[in-house]
Amino acid sequence: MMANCNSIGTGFKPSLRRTAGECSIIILLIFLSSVTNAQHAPVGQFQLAPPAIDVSQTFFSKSTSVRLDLDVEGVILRYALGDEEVSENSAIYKAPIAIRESTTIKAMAFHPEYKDSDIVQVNLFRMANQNDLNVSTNAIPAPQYAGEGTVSLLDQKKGSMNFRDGRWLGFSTDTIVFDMKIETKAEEVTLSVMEDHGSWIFAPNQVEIWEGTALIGSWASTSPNNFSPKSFRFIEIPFKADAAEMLQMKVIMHKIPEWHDGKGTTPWLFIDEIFISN
Amino acid sequence: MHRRTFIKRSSGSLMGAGLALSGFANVMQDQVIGHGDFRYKIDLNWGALNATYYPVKDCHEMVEDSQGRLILLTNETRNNVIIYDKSGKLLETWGSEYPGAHGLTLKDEGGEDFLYIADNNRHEIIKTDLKGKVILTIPYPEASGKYDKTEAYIPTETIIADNGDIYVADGYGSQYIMHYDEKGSLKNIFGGRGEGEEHFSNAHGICIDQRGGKASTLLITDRMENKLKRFTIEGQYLETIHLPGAFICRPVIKDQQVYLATIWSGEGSEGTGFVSILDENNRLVSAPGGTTPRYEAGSLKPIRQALKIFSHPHDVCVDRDDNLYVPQWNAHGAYPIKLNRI
Repeated sequence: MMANCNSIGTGFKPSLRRTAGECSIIILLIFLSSVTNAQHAPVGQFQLAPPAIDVSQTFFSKSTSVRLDLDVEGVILRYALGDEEVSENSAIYKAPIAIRESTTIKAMAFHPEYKDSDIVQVNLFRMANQNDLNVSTNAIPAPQYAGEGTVSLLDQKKGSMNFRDGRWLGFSTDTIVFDMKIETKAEEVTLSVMEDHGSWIFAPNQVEIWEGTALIGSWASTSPNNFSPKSFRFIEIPFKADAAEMLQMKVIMHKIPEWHDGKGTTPWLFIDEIFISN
Repeated sequence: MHRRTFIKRSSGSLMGAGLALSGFANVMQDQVIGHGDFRYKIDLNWGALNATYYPVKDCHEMVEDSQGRLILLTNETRNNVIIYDKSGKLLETWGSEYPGAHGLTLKDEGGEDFLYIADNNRHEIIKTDLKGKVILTIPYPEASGKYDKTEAYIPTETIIADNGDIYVADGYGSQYIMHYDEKGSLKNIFGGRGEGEEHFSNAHGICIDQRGGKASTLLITDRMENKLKRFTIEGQYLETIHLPGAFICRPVIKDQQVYLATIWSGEGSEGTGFVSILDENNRLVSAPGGTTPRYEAGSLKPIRQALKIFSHPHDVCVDRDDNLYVPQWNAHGAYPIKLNRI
């Protein structure tokens, strides 16, 4: 092409225009052939999967460690703690993060060749020492969801989204009463439960904390209006009690709502931990 | 005009055009996935058809026949079997009697190709020719004494030995592996549920491994365990290949590699999945759509989906040119995705 352009004589206007035109056509053809070959998906088409969040302990007494992981060459992982939203301006993850207070961690993956990942989130809870809490109950969990008994509720081990993993206690009654003995000052008790509507598992509707005949704390929530995906729920019930008290926690389940196949029947309650905070 | 001026002007515009082209070329670059020597470009449209006339439900498995045609099996009884040519053009469809069409294996028997379909709903293995004519039906193995009713047998896969013997994996039923002769007479049964590596919780797929000039062995997937288990053809357990995080479907061997559709990863969540490729030592060397394979002290670090490309890959078909076809399960009627080897 350059040779063609070179061989032009001076002052020969018509052929100059023509050869310049030929050059442009050749450039255009090269460009077009690269554009019209759309057989393969281009860079930028696909989204990154979200990073894995590995937590050493969801329920911790002093501190816990959080590791983010998405092993893709060139990926950048960013995270935010507490109420902060995670975005491309958030801190870059470089090494496991030490957490010393109850908080939420949100994480996201970025890469020049892929669309940003969805946001993933994990809740972390600092609790009073589980040695200071004792829990017992007369309620009998279903034999296939009996874990290690009430010990499962105090072992600081988080259950997974698979309710059969042996870390959950599953109950199928309208009311469950837990006896709690607290050896330290406490301001809040938290129930860690799950919702899995597809498996007829619902969160409680009411939780009451009684000290003898005195109601010292309560929480209530209406049943959900529609089907939602599996999730963990952490129900926090504030109360005031001194140490070494015998308390009763009454967990009340309403019947399954109208829109569900199991309407009118007693739902399942799945609980993997009870803990106090001060 | 002077020649020099003209050259300056036209070289200027050529350079400008060249720069513009390279800028566009970056935007138009093809995405490449996979690791090491096994990298691929992605053709999302290869298998696409008119869904009103040629619908699919779950695309379960695919095979390549002796003529290089690609045969897809779906549990959509409008057209259980869909046959494409190499370019992805639809050639023919047949099959309306396979509501539980799950496993598809092809065997060249004396110069003619036959298909073996494992049907979950019919609780049977059905052998057909390439036009769909039924040659043999193998019902549940009552004679073994391990099954007290048909419904306990939900076969997922077959593999055919060179002598015509048929092996069946009951991956959704009672987890036994059956060994029949070519006429369907039961010769052996092993596996089943239980503790210990010689048992299965989800014997989803099976193939025959003849690599390295060694005696043939059976490679059987235990999908829930993320494991491939090796057995002698007589049913003796030999070894386990553990791929943590990878919920693998059936193993497909071509040359020295094992290809596995990985239907879920991580905790087995929705919309995940990728492809796993093992080398001659059964080490994961490439995971198209997955995280980078890494070994520490001889063990594979848990792998997971890295890119949201596939939705529940259920099989990998490897053609004679080493391209891959990935049919997807529970993917809202999606057709297979083709990966072109680079």
